[in-house]
Amino acid sequence: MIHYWRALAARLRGLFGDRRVERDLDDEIETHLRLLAERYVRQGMTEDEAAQAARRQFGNVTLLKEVNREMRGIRFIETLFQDLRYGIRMLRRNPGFTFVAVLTLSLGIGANTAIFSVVRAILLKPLPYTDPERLVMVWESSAKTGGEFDVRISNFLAWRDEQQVFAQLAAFQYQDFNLSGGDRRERIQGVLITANLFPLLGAQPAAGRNFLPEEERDGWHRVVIVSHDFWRRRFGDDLRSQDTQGWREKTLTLNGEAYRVIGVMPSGFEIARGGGMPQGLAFAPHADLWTPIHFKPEDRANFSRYPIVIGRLRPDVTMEQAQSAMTTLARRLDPSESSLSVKLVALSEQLTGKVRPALLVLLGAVGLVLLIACANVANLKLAGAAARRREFALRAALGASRLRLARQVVTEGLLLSVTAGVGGWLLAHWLRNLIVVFSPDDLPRAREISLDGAVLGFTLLASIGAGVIFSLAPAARFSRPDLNEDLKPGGGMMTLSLSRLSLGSLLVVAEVALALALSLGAGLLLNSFVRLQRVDPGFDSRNVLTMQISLPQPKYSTGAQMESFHRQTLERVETLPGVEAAGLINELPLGGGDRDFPAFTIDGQASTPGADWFTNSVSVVSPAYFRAMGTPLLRGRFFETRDNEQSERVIIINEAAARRYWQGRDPVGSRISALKAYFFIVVGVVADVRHQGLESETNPRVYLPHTQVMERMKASLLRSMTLVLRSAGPSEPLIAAVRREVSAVDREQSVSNIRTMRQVVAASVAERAFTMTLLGAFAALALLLAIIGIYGVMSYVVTQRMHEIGVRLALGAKSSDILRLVLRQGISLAFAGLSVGLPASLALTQLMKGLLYGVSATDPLTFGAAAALLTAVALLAALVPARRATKVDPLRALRQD
Amino acid sequence: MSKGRYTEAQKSEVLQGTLDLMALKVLDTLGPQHGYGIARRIEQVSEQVLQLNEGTVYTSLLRLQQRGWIAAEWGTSENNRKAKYYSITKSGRKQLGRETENWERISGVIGRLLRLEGQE
Repeated sequence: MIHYWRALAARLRGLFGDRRVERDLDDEIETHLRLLAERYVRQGMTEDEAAQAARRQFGNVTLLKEVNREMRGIRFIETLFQDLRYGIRMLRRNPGFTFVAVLTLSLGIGANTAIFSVVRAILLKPLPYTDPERLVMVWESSAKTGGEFDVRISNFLAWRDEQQVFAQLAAFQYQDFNLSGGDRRERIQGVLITANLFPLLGAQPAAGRNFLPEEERDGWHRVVIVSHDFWRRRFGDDLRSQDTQGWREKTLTLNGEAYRVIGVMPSGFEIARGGGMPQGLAFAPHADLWTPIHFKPEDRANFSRYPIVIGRLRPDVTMEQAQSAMTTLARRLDPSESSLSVKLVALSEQLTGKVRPALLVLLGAVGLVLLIACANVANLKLAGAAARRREFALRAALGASRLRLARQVVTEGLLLSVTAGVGGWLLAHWLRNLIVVFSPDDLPRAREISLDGAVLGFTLLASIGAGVIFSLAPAARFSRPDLNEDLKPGGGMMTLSLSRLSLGSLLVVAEVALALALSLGAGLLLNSFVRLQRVDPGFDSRNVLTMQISLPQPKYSTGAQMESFHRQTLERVETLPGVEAAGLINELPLGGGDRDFPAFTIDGQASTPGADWFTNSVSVVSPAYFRAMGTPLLRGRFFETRDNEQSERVIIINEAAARRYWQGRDPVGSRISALKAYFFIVVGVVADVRHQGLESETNPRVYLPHTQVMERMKASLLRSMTLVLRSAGPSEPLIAAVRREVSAVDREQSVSNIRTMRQVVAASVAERAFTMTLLGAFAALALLLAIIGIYGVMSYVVTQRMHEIGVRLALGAKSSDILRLVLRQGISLAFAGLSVGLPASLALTQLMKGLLYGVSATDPLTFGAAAALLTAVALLAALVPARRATKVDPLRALRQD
Repeated sequence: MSKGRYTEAQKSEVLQGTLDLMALKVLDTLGPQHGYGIARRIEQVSEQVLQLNEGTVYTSLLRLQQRGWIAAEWGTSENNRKAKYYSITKSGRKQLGRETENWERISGVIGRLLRLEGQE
């Protein structure tokens, strides 16, 4: 055997390095002829005679070369082409089989290719930064409750000066800007960054320069680097001319101030994007420009700015070392908080950690679909084999080796699967576009999903793998023909059908089991989704319109300026026809943002256990907000206009806070103190709102009236508010009117992020919907393939048992008996598949536990439904062949043999 | 491939099988040789009995090489020409042992058979 492989390897080498080998042989022949001739000359011949004699002695040079060339491998290739030609002829002779097989496999391979391209872009490809594995996100955390929280700017500044574990520590913060200039106003997404952020990532502007450290200082900071897209949109210039002719500076008017454009980032650059951020935070879906995050001296003691911190670990420091060193440092710098700790998360983990389980489940699912497709094609090949059985037996009888016969089968299989691979590749392009278009906004790295060389390699491997897999059963069957039986005219029907049938039945059982697993997965996700939709979010999303209003600096610098804008806007909007209530909130529920409320104590109690920095959230709202959102009041009263700066500070709490801190006592009227300096009277209790996501438990939350925000928090809490409008009918028609009213208050002010509350809810579950839709589609595909598989086998069974059925009918069996006979066989196949598939699925669905909501991975209802569905599918697939069996004409069936 | 060449190839295969064994033996006895040297040695030993198309030696050598029984290396011939020198490998020696045994057994049988037939 070793010799065989070695010769094969030598031949394969011969296929490629042919020309050199041939020259070598020429040289050898030449030397040989010369040596012979010299010998003849020594024996007394003339030069001419000697050369002639030498050629005679040597023999036919051309023939020799040809024989050697053949030995070097041309024969091997010739056989391959022979097999291929033959295979193509066979496929063309059975166009029906070929079409179904290629279509089935194309669907399987296409789905696999598309999902693999997603997995590759999101999970496998390293992030597009220098040494991405050393990049970490840095969060504040609580040693008691865990979790990840954005870093107070005072802490970031202190850490940056004192830390020893990072080569660099950088921060960024999203902020949108009003872009004015000419007659247009535009809302654009900016990111405030430290000057070292781009060097930390290893990114460089495609043109222009990076920020300088001194540009972080207040007053020096009016410089921007813009994205490539924004550059093209705004200036339209070709970037190359900027490069060759030196940087020609442009200016932008942002929030009414002139900023110098100093650089353009390369196309496609983004800091980070993804749904993996801690709850309450989100990466912006895109960025138009970057500008220095500028610090003021007072930021050293500032609690109201929370940048996102990212670091590059020093090469000699591990993640664990860095984490404990940072925690020690953080506590040393801020001894007032003993439970403060620092949590590091690898950037890649942060970005993709949340989508990873869903993607792996999808990848597994398409793998199963491809296996089902393979089983189907193997079955089709077996079923269509009756005619070819004799052909193979004949070839074996004529001396073809088993290996040779198996090779023929596998070559045909590969021909089929590679053709399907081409189809799958084309299909994958379409699927990829579909996936990218319908992917949720926060799917990380979605722009990087492409069908590149690596994906093509995967497709090729999948095609070849599929070809080999579905050829195995037929190859095993064909390469060991039973000569006696197979060569008999019409022979082997009864005896052979047994082995054929058992193999085919096995394949169908496997198909049913695989389809069951997929249906179950899809069923569990669907069940979760439906349950999630039924969750009471704590508000009524019908006829609610929301839009964000961000007030720019320096036009709005003081709290009074912002409050005046808000008051005027609310007054105007409330009176629009059709508007029932209009309110403001700083961070919209399910909008991705949230704020923490400090630890507090209830008067009359020594301490409030569990009321930590990170356990309570706070929202700032205007009086009519709750009515606009439809959040029910459970006790006490809503805020009113009389709750203002002159009156006593009031607060409304949610049910979760009442339950946890008041434990059955009536909170209304009690007084709480926060940070030992601020006192609030509780005036009302409202229903719990699922602020951070439909599936997350509600934590204690307090609401403050927007007119009573402490002066030093105003800038951060009131700058960007979301207007919430409840209308009598559909809310979209109001958009234009609201815009007009906002412009009437401030001609330069724009609104952004206009969405109905329905859309906000849908966006918050978009990722889940996406996974569910894909898995559902794959399950449907699997079911379809299983139907084809069962139908194929049952049809074959009926054909095989035609004789028997004829006898039964002749002996007086009723057609209902025949129907039952065939259906029973179909059902027993399905039951066999279910009995294999159920235990296997129990193990598989455990893997998707993390994706489920409100339903266990072993939910008996879903399991029962999936099993019933597959039984029904099997019945359906067996019905057509069964009905055909009842129409058998006994006379003709008996005459057949 | 035409039928005619198929039979032709089969005929030469018998001869070449023998030639393979001879070439292997020569390389085992004399050490590394080029094709010409092997042809000369066979000519010398066979004492002109065997008429050999010397080109077929190279087909043998290629086959032996493909099976890994001999190895080849470029060197310089007596008349200062580029020549390929062949030497027997370890597995080639093993194969030579097997083939020799096989040959002796078969030639013994054929010899006995021919002698018996001759006596009648």
